[in-house]
Amino acid sequence: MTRPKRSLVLLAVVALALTLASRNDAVVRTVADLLGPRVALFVPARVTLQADPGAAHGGNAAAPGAAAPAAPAVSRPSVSVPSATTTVTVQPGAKLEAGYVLEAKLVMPNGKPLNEAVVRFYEPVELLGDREMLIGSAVTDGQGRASLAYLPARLGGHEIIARSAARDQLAAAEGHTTFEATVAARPYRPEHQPLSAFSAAVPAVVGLIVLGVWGLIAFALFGTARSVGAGARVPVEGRHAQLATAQPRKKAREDLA
Amino acid sequence: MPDKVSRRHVLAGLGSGAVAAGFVPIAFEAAGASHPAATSAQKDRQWAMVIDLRKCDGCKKCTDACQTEHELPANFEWIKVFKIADKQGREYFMPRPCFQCENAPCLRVCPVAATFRAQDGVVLVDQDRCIGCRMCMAACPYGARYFNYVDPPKVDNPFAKPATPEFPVPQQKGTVGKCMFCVHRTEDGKLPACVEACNMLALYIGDLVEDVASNGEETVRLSTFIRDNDAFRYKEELNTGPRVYYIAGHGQQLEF
Amino acid sequence: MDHRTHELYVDRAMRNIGKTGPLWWAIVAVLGVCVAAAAYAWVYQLQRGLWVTGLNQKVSWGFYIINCVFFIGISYGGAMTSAILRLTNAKWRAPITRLAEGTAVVALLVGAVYPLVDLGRPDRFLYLLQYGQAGSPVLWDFVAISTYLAASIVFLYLPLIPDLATCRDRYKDTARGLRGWTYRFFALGWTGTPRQERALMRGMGIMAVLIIPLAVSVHSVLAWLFAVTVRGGWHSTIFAPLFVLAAMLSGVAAVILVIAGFRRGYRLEPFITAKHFRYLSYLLIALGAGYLYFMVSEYLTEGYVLEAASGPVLEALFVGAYAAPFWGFVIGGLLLPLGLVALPGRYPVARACTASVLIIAGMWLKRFLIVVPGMAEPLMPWDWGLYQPTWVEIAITIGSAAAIPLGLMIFFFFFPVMSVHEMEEVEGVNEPARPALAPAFAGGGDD
Repeated sequence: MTRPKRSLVLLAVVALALTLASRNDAVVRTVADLLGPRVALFVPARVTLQADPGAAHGGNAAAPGAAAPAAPAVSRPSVSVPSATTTVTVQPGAKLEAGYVLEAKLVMPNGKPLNEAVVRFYEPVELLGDREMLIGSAVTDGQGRASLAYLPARLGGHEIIARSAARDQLAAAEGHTTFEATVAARPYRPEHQPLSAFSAAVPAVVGLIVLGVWGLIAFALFGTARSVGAGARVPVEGRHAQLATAQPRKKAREDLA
Repeated sequence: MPDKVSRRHVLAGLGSGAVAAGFVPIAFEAAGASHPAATSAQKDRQWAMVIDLRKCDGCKKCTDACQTEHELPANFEWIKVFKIADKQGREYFMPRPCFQCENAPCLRVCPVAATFRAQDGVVLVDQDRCIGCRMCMAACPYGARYFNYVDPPKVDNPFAKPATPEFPVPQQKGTVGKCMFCVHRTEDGKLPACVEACNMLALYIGDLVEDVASNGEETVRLSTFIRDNDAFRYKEELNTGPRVYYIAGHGQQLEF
Repeated sequence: MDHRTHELYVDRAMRNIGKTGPLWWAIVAVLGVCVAAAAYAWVYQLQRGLWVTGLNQKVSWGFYIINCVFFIGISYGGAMTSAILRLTNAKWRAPITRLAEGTAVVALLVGAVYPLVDLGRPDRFLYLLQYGQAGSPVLWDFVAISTYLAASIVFLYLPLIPDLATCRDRYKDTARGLRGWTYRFFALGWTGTPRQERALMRGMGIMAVLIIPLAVSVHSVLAWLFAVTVRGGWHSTIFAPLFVLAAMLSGVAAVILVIAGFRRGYRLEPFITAKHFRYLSYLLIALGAGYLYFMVSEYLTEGYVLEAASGPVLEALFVGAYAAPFWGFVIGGLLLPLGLVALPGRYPVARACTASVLIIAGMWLKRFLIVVPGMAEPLMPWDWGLYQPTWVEIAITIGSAAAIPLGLMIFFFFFPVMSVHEMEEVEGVNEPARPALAPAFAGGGDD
């Protein structure tokens, strides 16, 4: 094989290996952990939860390796009313900066998808008490899927709850999932304060000027006082003494040295 | 000029005099950041508020709650509800707390750093240091500061804690006070007094870091809420960077 | 100057030292009552708090800030007449420099007290030194005023040294106790040797040059107290030059009144002549015209655009609630007095004095029209603020105005009312014939 041909084959093998590896979550996750969160943008976070079929309460989490929070009890009327099963998934969005797509799939007990149901997505937060933040809402389509774009405010673990309201012959349904956000919105930055470098330097400079001015005043006062006082010790009779006695001065100009 | 003063002296005098013409004092303590008073316990929060003008009915329960919480006299409206008439003569209401501006004019002009910004973005007043010059009141473009001309009404409270900038109760005569987003309550995980008192759920307290806001019942994503409702900030052109967002409205969501 | 005139000058300068009379006591008594009332009002306020004034949440600055700016403006007479005339070698300054410098110091002392009166917690005044913030206009004020006060006192004291020596020698036997000691100590052993003269001239030269930018800086920082806010009518770039010019105008007017009063009371007519009043009137006209120009520039710029912030204030000043005082100030406090002294005619002294009274009153009114409408203008959708000053503020204002002539009269009980040394300096009495640095046409000749 000639040299160029050999490199091409090598390149093809490497490309194939990478493609295969990228399909393997474990490999990619390891790589992502090594390289840090930002590089993991390219890693889909796929944590799917399968609903327990037939459960009247709705889906509960059974993610690989993740603990399953129990679905809250839904109070039902005495007549047993089935509710749709809700499957919630979180997938990366089409564009990097769009974050993730939350998808909820509602399936009626008879197996048919539930369409035109309003699904609200919540996230539990702690803001002066435990609260649930409404992320947004979406309507299920013909396949029973409702999706919503979500760019989380912070990296790390997030929990998503999807709820649909009760409708004719169906109780309210709820589904949970958790995922690890490796993409987040830009962190909050306070307003830009221009010229802040100046505001630091100017007081120091002007402070020096003020000191200089006080120094000059002190010099004018004490320097003069010292010179005047020193001059007094020289026993030359100044013109001044004649002024004091208010006598006619005869030789005013002769006294000048 | 008689030449008893040599040219050298004149030049020296002129030089220093000309230089003294640009006059600002020696820098003493740096303002703000290193204030000895305690900062809010919630260190990774940046408090903001959203006020939904579609829902405000002008009942002033927010003002009353604030005055009760802080033992204020009746004319101290740290959150003040304005009644505004539009061109057709219809009235609507706008509550105005202190906007905790990021580029606060009141902070810049305080001569003794009695006004300072806590780490969670709330602008506080240390009434043990305020000298009562009221320069901050002249500088505030929103009229959000109030001067204690008199002692506040005495409230007998056996559990009274000593006053701090986070909880300046009782107010000191001769100093300035203002809304501080009830950091003394948010420290304890409680909603601010006005947010809790609003029956119309028009006041939201939020965190810009976690991007979430709540009026006590509803919790929304702050940035989405602001964007979807075209929220604005009052007198934004002044570039003070206020932290209170208004959702434009004329009380149209009131149930009458 | 011939010998007889010289002796007459010295006599008139010194004759009121240590002397009082029934008229002197009458005037001092009246002024003293005013000052005592002001002191009582201030103590009343210190005991009860600032609620005894007419200040409120909307108009939180009132008479006290107005008076601070006003009285510090009055003190500019010293910088103008004494320093600037000295640097330009205007010989006619000689008889009036002492009065001008004295007025400057007394007015400055009065004006510098006002920020203290205005504080909500005056007991914490020294926090300005402990915790002072370099970015605050209040601190700039504190530093600028204190530096200017120190410079003014030094500028008053230095030319006083030779006169103190004269007093020391002249009243060696008659002045005992504190007065005699004061003369001896503060005369520093002056005997008039050339070496001492040179030292004195050097010190005075430094101060004369230094005090002008200092004076400019003081009123500039006072202007920036207002101009760095965003209130209507305040946030104007021309504020600093406007305030400086206004201060010079009111300062020269105050000097005119002071020298007229002391000229009459101390019989200084041979030396403070109509010429002085005419020349000072020229200064008034120049400064007044400059001030009018700055005012027109400011109002034109603001009024043409009528922005949200400054529009309502301008409207209130020109046609609204403050129209009467505003036009009263423009016509009665500027145009009328300037016209009065600009037109040639007789009675220069009377005309200058009338014009000065009108100008000073007008300048106080203008400061009022800057501070109060600016504070009263609504920043939010509420009504205009109202300001109704109480007896406390009025009493303190009147008392501090009375404190200036009172302070001057007490000062000139101890010290000569005209500067002998300065006169001798301009007359060239005690120096060998050397050409003056300034040619005769620049004020060297006298008539």
